[in-house]
Amino acid sequence: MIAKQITSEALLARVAERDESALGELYNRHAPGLLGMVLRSLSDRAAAEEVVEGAFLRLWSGARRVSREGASVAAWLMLTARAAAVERRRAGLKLPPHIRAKPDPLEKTLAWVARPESIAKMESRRELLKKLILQLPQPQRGILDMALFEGYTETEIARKLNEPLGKVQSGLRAGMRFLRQRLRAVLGTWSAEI
Amino acid sequence: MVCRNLDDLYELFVLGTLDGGDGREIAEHVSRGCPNCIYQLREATLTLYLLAQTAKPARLKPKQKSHLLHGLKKK
Repeated sequence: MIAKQITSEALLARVAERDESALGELYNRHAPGLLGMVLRSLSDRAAAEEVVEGAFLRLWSGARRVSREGASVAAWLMLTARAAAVERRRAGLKLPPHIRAKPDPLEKTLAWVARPESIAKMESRRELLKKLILQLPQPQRGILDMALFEGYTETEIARKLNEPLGKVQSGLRAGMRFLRQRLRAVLGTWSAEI
Repeated sequence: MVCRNLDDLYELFVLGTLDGGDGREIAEHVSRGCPNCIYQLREATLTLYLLAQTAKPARLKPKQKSHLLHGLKKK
């Protein structure tokens, strides 16, 4: 039994030393959230479960590097599972892979992944942040979901909604700006009004 | 090249949502090791993590964890 107070990053360091029980604990902590997210991309539950398992197998292989780079395990898993789910979804819809997805968006991007302390701070203010997301205007929320969960590009979103591309681009940027500014305010990294 | 005008694009770049030149501009900055772009991309993944948390967690069957741990032996 692994104590809950052990951080995911401490578990990752153990995974890097080939500790299977540490990977099992990371799975207990993060797999339900990842599966919920992946099911927003893929309606096939078996395919979604495969994607989640694939993310943990990649973590097993790459634990040493992820640990060395100081990336948040939770954020890395989210980005990895999301990218795999979206690429699988796009292949099923016969859409081309994302430009940035070749050869693999995650190989060179560890420096971009949020840091554990930022994720911990966010988790500690989860309830406030939930309210923040509810403030997002519904049309913007809809297109952000299409980008995040369904993996559509801005041109594809415009086509699907039969809206001008400029309008979709403005909505995507405004939605992300809304979230970013308020998130910074909540985390104390910026002084915007909530 | 000034990267301040790119502020609204980092999240969309990480997601692969950008189709045109905007994404290429960020990619060029990052390939040259632009510290501001790297910082902004790190912030962007935090925003995306928050948005991803809106998905409701799903229950997993215990056999799925066993399947994963069994799969490690083959790696």
